[in-house]
Amino acid sequence: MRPPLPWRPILAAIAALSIVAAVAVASIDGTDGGASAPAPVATAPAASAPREVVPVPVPAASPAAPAPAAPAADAEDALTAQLRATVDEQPQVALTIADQVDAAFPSGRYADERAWLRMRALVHLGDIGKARTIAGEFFERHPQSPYGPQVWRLTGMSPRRIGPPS
Amino acid sequence: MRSNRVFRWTRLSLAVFLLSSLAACASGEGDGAAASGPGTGSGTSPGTGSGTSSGTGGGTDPGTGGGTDPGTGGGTCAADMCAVGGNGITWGCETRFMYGANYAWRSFGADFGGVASWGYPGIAGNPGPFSDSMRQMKAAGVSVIRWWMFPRFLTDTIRWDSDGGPSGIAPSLAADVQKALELAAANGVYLMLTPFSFDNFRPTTTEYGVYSRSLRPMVVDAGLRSKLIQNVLGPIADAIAQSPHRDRLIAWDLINEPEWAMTGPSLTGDPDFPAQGGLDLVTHAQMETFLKEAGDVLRSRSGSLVSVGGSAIKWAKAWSRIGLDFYQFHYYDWVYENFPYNTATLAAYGVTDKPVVMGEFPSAGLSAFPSKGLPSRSAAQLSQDLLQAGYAGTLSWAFNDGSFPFDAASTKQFADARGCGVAF
Repeated sequence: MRPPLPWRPILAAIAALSIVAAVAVASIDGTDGGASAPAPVATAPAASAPREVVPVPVPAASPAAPAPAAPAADAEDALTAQLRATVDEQPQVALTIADQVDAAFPSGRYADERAWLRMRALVHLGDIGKARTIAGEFFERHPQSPYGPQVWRLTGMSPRRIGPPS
Repeated sequence: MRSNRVFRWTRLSLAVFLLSSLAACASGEGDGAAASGPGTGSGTSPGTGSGTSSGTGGGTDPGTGGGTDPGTGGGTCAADMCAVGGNGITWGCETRFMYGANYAWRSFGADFGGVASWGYPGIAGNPGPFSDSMRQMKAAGVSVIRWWMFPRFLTDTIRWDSDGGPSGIAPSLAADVQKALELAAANGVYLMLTPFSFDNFRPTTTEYGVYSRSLRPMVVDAGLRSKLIQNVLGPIADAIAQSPHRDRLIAWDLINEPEWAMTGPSLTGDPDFPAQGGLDLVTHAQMETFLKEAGDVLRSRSGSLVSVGGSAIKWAKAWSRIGLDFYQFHYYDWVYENFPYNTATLAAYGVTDKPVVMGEFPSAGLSAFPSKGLPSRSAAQLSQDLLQAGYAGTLSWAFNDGSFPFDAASTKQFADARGCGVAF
């Protein structure tokens, strides 16, 4: 008897790939995918070149990942790559991608990196309040993430260890 | 009656202390530390006259020492041979670039008073590790330590009434405060104590069995606010004033980054406040009232300077109406990217009436933003840049944040390069 098809990851992958295509078209068109223009930043000149790229540690794929999940993992890879590529030049687009990929892969392999990229995009757009809200959640959800120091250096948020000695 | 007697005694002891400090300054005795004290005028009115304790700010005229008439009282201080070449903070007879680090705590919310149910004693109950930390910071060139007290209400040494307002403090909390001063004196460092933080605005909850109250009701309700100030801050200030090492408390940093717990428009022309999620928010007017009242009590009963740990120069004028002795801003990459100090200068933001200390910046330094022409900066480089930009001090984050190691080498590099002008 043939095992049932893993419909959910397949559908997620299809949805995710369609997002990639839409973002690619938006990028080629020079639009922001329909999102509103970035808010002006107080005293900084408009960005004309990408921010220095901090080396991004890419978590290794789980060797135990079942074969049917591969299309979904590939889609998550592709979307996260798009997110990385747009975060500095098109932060509003990056936020749209982050929303969609988080919806498709809420506990995906790159959830901590996406949170970090989302904070960067928000800072580019001048929304430090929201960036710090995410930073607070980040330290609760990903206490061991390698992105922790970068989150702190960006937002000034650091984890608070409350409670009896461990 | 008893409290009145204590208050009068406190005022009297402060007056004696001030007069003796001025005499010490005039005679040039002591090692500089012993001669320090509140830089007020006549010595009869502790804590008054912020201008006499503060530099002029603004980054102008480097080399003049920056402070206005240190010690005042008609030239009672001997010449300050180590006055910083630039703006500084004046404490007693010394004007220095306030250089140091955030401790910022050994155990979050538990250093002052301890949390018995979690097994944390306060400072007096286990002073060794605190003294060790101070010794290490001093060895790294730290002169001033910013130390958080109650970033959440966790300690059981604050007593509470049934209406949710504090009724007083336990003697052991006063003992912790005095022990902190004693350790600072023993290790040759000075303190800036931070009673509160935006963290205090987390909703009331129970943390590992400890009931932790939100600060918001005590900010917005006049009765509860009075209880907090009179029954907690007042007795703590009295404990400072009664310590033989009271000169070790240079300043109160009333609250860490209050802007995150605020929402709505600014009353001082700054951008709207950010309304960080997960906090019980207040308005600018509510926070301003609270900080004005808290600062007045702390200054008048302890004689120390008063400041606020502002989040960023973005809200440069937020605390300009509450009589602070000096301003503070914090600096992380988000500020560097959007408000670079080479263009977002103190003059450009109208912060020239009082000295400005950078109360937090990453010990690991700042990231580069090549697209904006902003290079990476180490802690030492940033301190040097800010000194030249007219700031009156820098305090890095942080000595004891386990997540982000303290860069002792870079901290010491700047201290060694600037010499006694950066050490009280």
